[in-house]
Amino acid sequence: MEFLSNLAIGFSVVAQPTNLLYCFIGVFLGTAIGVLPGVGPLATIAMLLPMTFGLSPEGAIIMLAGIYYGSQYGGSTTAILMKLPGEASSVVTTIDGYQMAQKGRAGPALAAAAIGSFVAGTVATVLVAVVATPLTLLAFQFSPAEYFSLMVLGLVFSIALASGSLLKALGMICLGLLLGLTGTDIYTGATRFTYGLRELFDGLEFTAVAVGMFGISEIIRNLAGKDELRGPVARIGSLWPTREDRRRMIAPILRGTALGSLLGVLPGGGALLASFVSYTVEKKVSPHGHEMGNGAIEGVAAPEAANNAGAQTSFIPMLSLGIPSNVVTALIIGALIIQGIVPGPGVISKNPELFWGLIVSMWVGNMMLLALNLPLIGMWVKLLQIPYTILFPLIIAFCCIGVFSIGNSSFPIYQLTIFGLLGYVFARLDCDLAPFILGFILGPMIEENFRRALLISGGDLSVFVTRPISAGLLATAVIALVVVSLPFIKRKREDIFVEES
Amino acid sequence: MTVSRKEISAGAMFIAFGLAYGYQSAFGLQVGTVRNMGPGLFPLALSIILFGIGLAVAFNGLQGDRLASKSAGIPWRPICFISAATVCFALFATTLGMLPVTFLITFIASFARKQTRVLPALFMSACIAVFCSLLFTYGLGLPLPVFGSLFRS
Repeated sequence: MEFLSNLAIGFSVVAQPTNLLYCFIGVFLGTAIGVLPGVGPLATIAMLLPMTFGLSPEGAIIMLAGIYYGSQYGGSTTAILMKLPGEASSVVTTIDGYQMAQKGRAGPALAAAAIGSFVAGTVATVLVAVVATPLTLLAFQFSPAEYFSLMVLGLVFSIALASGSLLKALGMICLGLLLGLTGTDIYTGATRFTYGLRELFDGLEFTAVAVGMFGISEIIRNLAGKDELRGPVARIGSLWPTREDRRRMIAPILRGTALGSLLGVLPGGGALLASFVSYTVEKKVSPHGHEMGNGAIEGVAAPEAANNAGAQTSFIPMLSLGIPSNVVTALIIGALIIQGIVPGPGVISKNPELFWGLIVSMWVGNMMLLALNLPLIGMWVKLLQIPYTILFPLIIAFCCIGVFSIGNSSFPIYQLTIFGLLGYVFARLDCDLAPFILGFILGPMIEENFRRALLISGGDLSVFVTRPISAGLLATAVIALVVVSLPFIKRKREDIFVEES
Repeated sequence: MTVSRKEISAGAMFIAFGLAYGYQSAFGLQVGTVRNMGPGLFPLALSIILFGIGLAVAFNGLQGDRLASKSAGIPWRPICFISAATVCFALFATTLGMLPVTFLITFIASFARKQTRVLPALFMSACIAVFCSLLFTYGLGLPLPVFGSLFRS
């Protein structure tokens, strides 16, 4: 019954009016900005991150999580109505979703996405609550060597799933790790890569780096492209799925949820992989599989359920081990660190309100999404029509004000400018930004654990392979690297990412 | 197969970062030994790996018999105007205050698009400036005043 009492703690946190309000604001803003064309969930979170600094830690993380699944959902709305995926994980939704919209069935498609997401969210929330505690206990037996190996594994998985060349993704990780080391060395007090700037003694400002890379550089990229020809927004019509629709939705939603929950837990996994795999599986196993691609409701329900489940279970490694499994959780870890909370297995015992509050808020947030999105769909469609001419100066103002507000100082804004340009260069050279940010966040942690492990072993490098858990993790990392480099898999993998872009 | 400018540039970038960081780690910091690690050892190791990856990426890009067609040029216009906007915010935020500085930077930024005209841009910037002042200074209570030190003397 410990499980129930834990959930009770969570409910008492979320039921506080202020926290409910933050959850609502997060979900609302997330959806609103996620719907805007050309602004993905990463840019949304990065942009709104500074707004949470003034809140309590619980309020901040609840709001951030709300922003995350709100923007995720907003992305699928544009995917269905305009064939514009707000983000990679709703790419597959465009296939059948837009076809349904063309046939005048946009309403049921939106409903299927919302209901699928809600069911998946509910199941995944329970899963997170059940799995996180035992994983945390396991994590307490981890020594620095295991932590080091686990982070290496996470980084390797993130490369395997990054778009583009493996080698370049590896390079981006090293670059991220290096830049993450900027600042004062905790063991010796030596300052590294600070170029004599006192402002850099505490390291580069994570928010400035993230907002620059995902907010500013995205604007430059959008403006450099040709003026997009936006298709007309499909008419929505009745939202209610027919009885036939409802019957056909159930199995795909359940399959999507199961697959998504599983794949979301993988370090480096999360929503993207989940949605792709569930679409492919659905095509094979569904009795209506042959209709998929021409506007079958299964093609919307399954991947939408899967990406939402994956988005939520990707919080499991973050909450229990303190290791980000994708860029979104990396951003949230960054926010927690700013709040003075060190993410890791200690959180569950030291800040039970934060931990259980977040888990319960995921479910409450999903319910709000359902209540918010279907009735308000007309308003979101209006937002879709805001021209980019007005949007991008507004986004720039938000980015600057947000980054300025971190310490009420101008210095982070220079970092914002530099990383905005750098982000554009990386993107132009087809270097994925996700491994960079993961490396950037993990840089100090991975070095600290590496040094501590070697300090304990007296400089014996074999400590990483003689401890069984550590050896197992490293072996998995090596196998994963070998598998994705195999010519056959490599071709398959490139195919998937070509389809996506 | 074509010679890929992108791959070669990406490789060159990794090599440059690897050299720069490797140099600083090896000569500016205590490297130490594996038994007693200094602050320079971990970054030095990373720089060497990065350098190696850079070489491999560039080498991959050179595998080809003909030159790929030239890629699109550098979009100087958005790069200049947007960087100018953010730098202006950093320079003038405290002296001008929230309202004037937001007006200034959104006005500058809006010219990142070629089609922008002065009058509509002025109007739009004014609207955004008022909106941001209301939201951030009054609504969220950010300590940046609506009018800065310049207007108070």
